[in-house]
Amino acid sequence: MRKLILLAGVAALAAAVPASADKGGKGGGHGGGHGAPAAEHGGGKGHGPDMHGGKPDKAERHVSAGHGPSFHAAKPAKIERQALRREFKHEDRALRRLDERRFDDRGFEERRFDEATRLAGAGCPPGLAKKHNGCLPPGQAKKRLALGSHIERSWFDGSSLPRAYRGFYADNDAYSYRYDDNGYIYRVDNRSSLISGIIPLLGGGFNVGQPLPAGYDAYNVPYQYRDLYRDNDDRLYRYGDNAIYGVDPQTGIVESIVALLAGNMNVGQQLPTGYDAYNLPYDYRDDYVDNDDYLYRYADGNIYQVDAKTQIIQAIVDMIA
Amino acid sequence: MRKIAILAMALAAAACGSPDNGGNGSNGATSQSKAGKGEQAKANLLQALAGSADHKVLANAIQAAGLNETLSGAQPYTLFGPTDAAFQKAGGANALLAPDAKGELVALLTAHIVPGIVTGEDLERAIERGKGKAQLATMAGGTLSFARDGDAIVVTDAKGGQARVDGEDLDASNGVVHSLDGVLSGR
Repeated sequence: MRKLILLAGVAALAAAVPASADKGGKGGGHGGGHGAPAAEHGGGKGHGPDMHGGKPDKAERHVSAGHGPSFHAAKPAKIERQALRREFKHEDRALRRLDERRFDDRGFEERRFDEATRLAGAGCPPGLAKKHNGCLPPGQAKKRLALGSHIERSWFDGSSLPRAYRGFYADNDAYSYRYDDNGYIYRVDNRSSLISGIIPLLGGGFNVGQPLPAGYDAYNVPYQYRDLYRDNDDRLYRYGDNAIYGVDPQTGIVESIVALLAGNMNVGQQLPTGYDAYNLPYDYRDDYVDNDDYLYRYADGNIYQVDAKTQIIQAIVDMIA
Repeated sequence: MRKIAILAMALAAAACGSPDNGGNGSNGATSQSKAGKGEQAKANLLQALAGSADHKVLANAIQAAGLNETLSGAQPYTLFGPTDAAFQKAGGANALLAPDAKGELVALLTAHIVPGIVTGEDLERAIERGKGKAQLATMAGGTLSFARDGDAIVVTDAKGGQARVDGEDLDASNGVVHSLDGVLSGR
């Protein structure tokens, strides 16, 4: 099993395209009550609800340059190193050769993917090896559309986004947002009909057993979770679409979803829909009890104090870590 | 190694016996806080599910979706957990457990999870305060609506699907599982 995962990981090295989309802090997720996503792949220039505004940061610029993934940087534990040496002697050499080639065109990602999956195919079950898709079973082998792809006009006929995202990724004059059941939201430039941003979703672009999507090279775990989930030699942690993922540093494969975040609480704002019930962890119930003046609600590692009359979130009164 | 870990968790859950569902909701902090602080060996959500005779399918689904660390970690969650009979009634879970359905599986499971610990008493109190209705935000970005139907609590998802909160709750160190007699819809 381990072998299969590791082999599949070779494909991940290729597919986990370089670059970082640091969504930073809280938010960064999807729409509706899911907070404010901070970045999309492919940079962008401040249009749409999810943009930083202004030019893309360094990491985002890195995406379009097409440099190799950063997962090579982390050192595996001793035993893992030995295992990897045995398993990937040939594959690593081939991938390193590929890494040495720097392409500035988007073809690099695809060529690297093809080469890695060809290598990985050697260890696949017979049925999957023929597909040359990195041992991915049918269904998971569906490939997302690439940045810059042209979108058919028929895609513009009404939003196809999952309900929870529609409020946030709403069409505007500059962009339309579309979903293709593959776990990615695509931001489409209305004038050119080209994809100018790709937003991976939990359960789609982010899925256990899959390569981490492009643009997540940088550590981006929200502050309140950083003590719990800090990058180390054995595991990287990345945040996206209101979840934190444990990632194998060698392969870039998402190993686990380690935390789910609601992403919908902000001080100064109205208590969002869906917090009618008291929900504090047991250890905090002595200290924070609902009363005529204040309500207390838990979300994303924080305990919030809410004005009972106005329902305005007044403060974070405690953090759970 | 993983099998051993799962077995160990199941044993730990079994050793914990029947957890106290107790507490008095928002104003019953004392008994629940004592439970939280005093019972150091209390099983976490994953262990509690592994030790439950009625949630085998759900426990498998959580493993398959890669949510096992989420439910065994320090962050608190409330899980509205369909029982094995509920999955059976909904046509079984084989299709959902297929490798190519992982996206749907994650969407479905996260639509059954809400942040924090909402005990049965918390839920009843919220329904009472909301004049017969309470809403809880899910980790899938949707909202579940709760209402009373006689002695039972009925939950309705965004698409109008309904299930009853039914059977024993599973109280865990990092949350609670309320058993459902039906499966709600995902995103």
